[in-house]
Amino acid sequence: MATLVNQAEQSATLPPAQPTYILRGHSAQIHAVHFFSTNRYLISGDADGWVIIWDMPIRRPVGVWRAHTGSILGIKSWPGLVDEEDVKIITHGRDNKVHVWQLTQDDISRLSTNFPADAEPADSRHPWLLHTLTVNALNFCSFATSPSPTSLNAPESNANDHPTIIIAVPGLQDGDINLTTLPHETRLATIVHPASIKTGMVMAIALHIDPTDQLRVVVGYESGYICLFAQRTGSKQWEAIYTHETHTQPTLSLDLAPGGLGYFYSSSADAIIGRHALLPGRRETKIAKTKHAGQQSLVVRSDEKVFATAGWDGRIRVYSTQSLKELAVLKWHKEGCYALAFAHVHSGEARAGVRDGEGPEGNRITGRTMTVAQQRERKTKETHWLAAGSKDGKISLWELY
Amino acid sequence: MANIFAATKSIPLTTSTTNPEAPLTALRTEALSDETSATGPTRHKLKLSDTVVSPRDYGSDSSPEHLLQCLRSQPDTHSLLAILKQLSRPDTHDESHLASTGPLQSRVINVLVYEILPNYWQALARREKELLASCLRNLTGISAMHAQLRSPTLQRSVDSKAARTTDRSPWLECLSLVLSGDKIVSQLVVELSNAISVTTKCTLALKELASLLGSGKIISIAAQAEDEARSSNHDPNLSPHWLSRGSEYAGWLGRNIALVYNISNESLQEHVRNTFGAQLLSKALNLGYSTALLRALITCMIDSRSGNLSSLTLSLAIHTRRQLLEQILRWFCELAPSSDDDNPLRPDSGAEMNVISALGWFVQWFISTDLTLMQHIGDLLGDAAFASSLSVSVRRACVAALAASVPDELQGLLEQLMTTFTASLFISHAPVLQQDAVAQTLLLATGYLHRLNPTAVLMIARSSDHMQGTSKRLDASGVQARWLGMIVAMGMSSLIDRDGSKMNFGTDEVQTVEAEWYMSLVKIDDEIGTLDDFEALLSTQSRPRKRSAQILTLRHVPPTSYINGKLVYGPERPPMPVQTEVIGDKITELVDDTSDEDIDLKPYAKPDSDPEDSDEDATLVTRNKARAPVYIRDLMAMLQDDKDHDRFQLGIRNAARLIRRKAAFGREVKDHAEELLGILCNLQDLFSTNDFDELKLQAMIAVLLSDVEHVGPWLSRQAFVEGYSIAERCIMLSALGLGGRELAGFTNEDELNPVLSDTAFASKRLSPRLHEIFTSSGSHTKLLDHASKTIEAQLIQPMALRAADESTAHLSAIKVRTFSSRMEVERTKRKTSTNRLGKIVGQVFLYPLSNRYQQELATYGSRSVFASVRIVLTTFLKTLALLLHASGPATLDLPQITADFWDLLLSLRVRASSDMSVLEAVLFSILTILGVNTDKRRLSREESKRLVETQQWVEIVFERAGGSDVLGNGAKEEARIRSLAAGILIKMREVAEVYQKETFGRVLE
Repeated sequence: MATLVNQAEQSATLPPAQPTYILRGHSAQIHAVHFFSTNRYLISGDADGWVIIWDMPIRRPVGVWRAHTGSILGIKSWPGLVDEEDVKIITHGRDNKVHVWQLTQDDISRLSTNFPADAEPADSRHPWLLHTLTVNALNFCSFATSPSPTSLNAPESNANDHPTIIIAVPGLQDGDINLTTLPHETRLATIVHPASIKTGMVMAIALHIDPTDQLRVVVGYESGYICLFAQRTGSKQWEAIYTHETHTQPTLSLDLAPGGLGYFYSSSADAIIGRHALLPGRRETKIAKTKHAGQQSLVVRSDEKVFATAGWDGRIRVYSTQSLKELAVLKWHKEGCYALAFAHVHSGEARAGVRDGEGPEGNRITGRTMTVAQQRERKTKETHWLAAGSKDGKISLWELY
Repeated sequence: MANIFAATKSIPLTTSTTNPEAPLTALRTEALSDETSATGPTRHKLKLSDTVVSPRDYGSDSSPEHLLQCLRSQPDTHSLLAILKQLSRPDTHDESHLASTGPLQSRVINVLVYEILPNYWQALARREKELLASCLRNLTGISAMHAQLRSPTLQRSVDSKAARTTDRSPWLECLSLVLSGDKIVSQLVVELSNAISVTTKCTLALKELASLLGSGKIISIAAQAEDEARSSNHDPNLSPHWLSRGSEYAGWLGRNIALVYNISNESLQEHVRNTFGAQLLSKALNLGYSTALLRALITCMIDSRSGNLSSLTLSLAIHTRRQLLEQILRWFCELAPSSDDDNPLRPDSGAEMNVISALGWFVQWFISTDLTLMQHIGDLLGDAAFASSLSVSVRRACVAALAASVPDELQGLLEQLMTTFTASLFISHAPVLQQDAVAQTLLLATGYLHRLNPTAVLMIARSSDHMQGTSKRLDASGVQARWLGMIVAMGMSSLIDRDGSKMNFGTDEVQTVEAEWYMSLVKIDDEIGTLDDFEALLSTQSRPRKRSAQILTLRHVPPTSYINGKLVYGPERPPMPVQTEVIGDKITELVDDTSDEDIDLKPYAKPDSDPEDSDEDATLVTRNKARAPVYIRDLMAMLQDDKDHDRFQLGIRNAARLIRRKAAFGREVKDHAEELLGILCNLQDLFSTNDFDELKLQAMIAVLLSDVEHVGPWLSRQAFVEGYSIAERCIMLSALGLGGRELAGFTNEDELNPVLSDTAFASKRLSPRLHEIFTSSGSHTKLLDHASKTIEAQLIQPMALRAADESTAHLSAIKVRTFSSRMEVERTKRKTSTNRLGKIVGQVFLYPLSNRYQQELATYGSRSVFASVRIVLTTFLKTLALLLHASGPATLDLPQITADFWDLLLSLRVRASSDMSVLEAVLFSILTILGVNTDKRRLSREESKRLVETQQWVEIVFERAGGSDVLGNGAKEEARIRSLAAGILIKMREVAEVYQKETFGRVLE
């Protein structure tokens, strides 16, 4: 046994990864996947506007409804302060709406569990709708959220309330971005694209609160430009503090590694992946030519070790955040993949704790108090999932690193 | 007045395009002349209010001479239209009418065709074009356009192509406009005969018109013009015009001919009309598109419900009547459900009965118009070769019609059939198919006659002809001939004899389904339908049942996403991919990346496939990469893909492998075998695939072997179906031959069929050596040729060795075993693998092939591809020989097969003497027959006549082949023929020796 393990460790590569599970249920292309409630649930949205909440421990749908009449563009969660289970879900559709849904345990249990294909037309059960924003969704850009800088938090806000967040969506003019706060629904700013360059439509947005509590907006444009906007000190004016023509094709996605690394990454319809510094000027921009064009839905895992892209060639690629080196190619889908999500990974110590928990000692401590279902739930929550949604309507689940 | 007259007359002559006044003046002139000649019905379409001169003064200006002058002086559009209007109106003076023929008309037409048409055609509007066309709608106009279209063709090689072909389309368009419509020909005839008063002149003109329209001149010229337009890249995507499509033109001609016979007596004398119609129809019948012609002609005649069919038939010459009848019957064969060719034993369905009664009505109606036709139909039914090319339904309809209209002929027919059926020559030499046909018709006719006149049947049945014939048949060597004799005798006996004394042979052979079907023929009494039935039949089958159309409308599997609703779980979804781990040595790339190091992340291995982008430019990357087919349905869809190169390539490359893998797995291949094979037969190489023919052949062999009992006969028939190219036929025959060999277990032996390496695993590829065999193949019959050469060597070598052995026999007295016996031992040793072919070769391969060959020859004679094209014929013969050789001496039913094949070969003696390659194929086949028939005693006893015939012929061939001193290729071929002939003669001698031993054995001992 030991020799086997040794051999595995000594060989240069791990065997090719295989999907752990396939979730089937959507009857249209999947455009968004997202883990929430500390990986307890996975929510997925498809091109017909349907969303499905999957219970990860049992891998069954627990809530199905049609959130939008148009295709879903993006799904994010808005966790509560106190209770992890008390979550709001924000969905963005091509019907020019951003909806915010209340999703407590109660809400979920009231939902239909029939798949979109089997749904009864009369069944219009859906969770409680808290907010609806009318936005421009003529392009394909999903919204971005971030907790608002503490300076913006209204002083009278109650601690029990959901924390204020900022939502960024493309504006009415090509290249514009609107910033709105929730739950107040007030317009913060409109960021106009830099006049000096031809940008085209906004394709991807990411929001970042820098260590000095300043909001920064990262935007990827149709022309392949990546811009980082910041507010000039002392004024309301937004200006681009970093502009880089990374891509030859429209940018498809952006994600941040704001923690220790201080990078953000961009992918596009061409074969280039760009790594940019969140503090411009400090580190140089790095570009990797992957020779696989069309990678979208770039996501960085919460531990900032790896990031992944969903490829139009049906393969999911996992890269190292440090070196941009390709670490794994996940092949299962026969058609192009559009959406990716990493499960939230606990910090290194927690991870070590889990390893111990699996040992004989850990079993002794925790096993006694937990039922099988609870154990399963805990294990699921701690697994390093990668969920990939594809054009074929299936979601593959992978366990990585 | 005279002044003005002179002035106006001179104006058109001085007209030039630069003079702005000129058009107006010319227009005015025309308008005036228009009014002056308006003595008849007034049709002023172009009026000018300010007429300055009194109209009466310009009476002579409407004269054709004047108009001709105007046309010659490059008139502008307005004046041209006015002139055309003038020309096209019915004129009072006959001599100058355009419909007539004469120097004046030809000058006018000349100007119109050679000057006006090319200059103005594109500029004219639709109605104006129509006006111009109406001026040219006469004999002179049509021949002028025809001549114009033809003339550049002759100069094409001299002049630059492009320059010439640019001006072709106006004439072509104009000609089609002139000819479009179903009444055009009748109109032309009436106008022509009215315009020309002199009878002789009129007759000549009509004759010219008939030959112009009926003889295919127009089709060929139009097709040539289009071809040039395409090849000159002027208009590469030019869609074929109706004038150049033979079947459409023939249809047009048919409708027009039908309407010619509808011309009433007032407008045209009947005999003129009939003569013209007969001329046109007899020419049209030789056009080669008789189906389209007859369909249009008869449909049109039926539609108009005129009783003119009799005048049509009576106007024809007697031999043309017979030709018409024959072609109508052939057309019916296409009209009647042709599936009865495949399986005549099918029980009668209601639909089929309707078809027969409808056809019966027509035949009755048609032959009732003329007494000679009644005789003809009897003759045709009695003619074994012709009758065998008709389908059973048509024959039934004919007999029913004959019985209904002329019962007296029936007895004559029956006697004729009986004579044919019982003739010993026919029994032993006629192809099985003809014998079947005669027996069927005989039984049918007997049944009808018995109902009308039982005594007559009794007389015939008791006649010595029948009695002797039956016993001759019982003696016959052919199984089918014997069987038919029994069936006919039993069938007749069942009618005339009392219950107790009915003839019954009581063997198993006469109790099969087929026998029952034959016996039931005497009870068939088809009703004669009505006009309505026939109309219904025509309307239901108005669209020709074309093979290619069928194939093209195959369900094309749409590439829809299979996640639509419940379809997700449907069977057409590709299976779960099995991701195989990489086995063997792994190559790990060591990347030296010092700046950004990954601490603890060990990369995963790449999956089994991760192709890089095909192109640097992201916009050019092909994303929908085709995957190898997994199901037969996928494969069919891929093979039919005419857009995506990769998909097609992948399909054809994997076809044989996939089919072989699936052949023994479920019914996937079996269920789609015919469909798939149909696709393969029709498969065109749109993407210039490497080794396309080879891949196609291998795929066809794979399908063939998957279900040989059904697919074999189907493919054999398919090789004779109309519409395939020579290459396609050769590939089908090759597939049959090589498939048969593989079935016989020859595959691994001679490596002719490159064994597809382990079809069980898709990932494995052909080994390089075998791949070499693939790539080096050039012609589509290469493998077949190779196979035949090998066999030839096998057959001849032992004889040559023995000859050498005998010549040196005196040298080694102690030799215990001769070379020949060693070869014999080796030859027998080889037969280790089970020969599955022997059991089925006759039913599946040889009979269908030879039957269809006979049928093809009966139908088309020397026009058939199988008679006229050397390579098809030789391929066909080699296929037969290969199959026979592969199936070997243990073949079931060998005597019958031998006799059939031998007769076929003997019938080719004349053809062979004029053609080296055919001769070679025939000799090779004979050698194969002799080689396979190892039972020499039987051969000498039963086939003595054929043996003698063959020997005489081969001796002549042998002598003749020896004489010449041709060097090079020719000499080599001659040498081959000599050696083949010598081989045959030696084999013959062996047989003769056996026979002698048999006869004089005791005496010699």
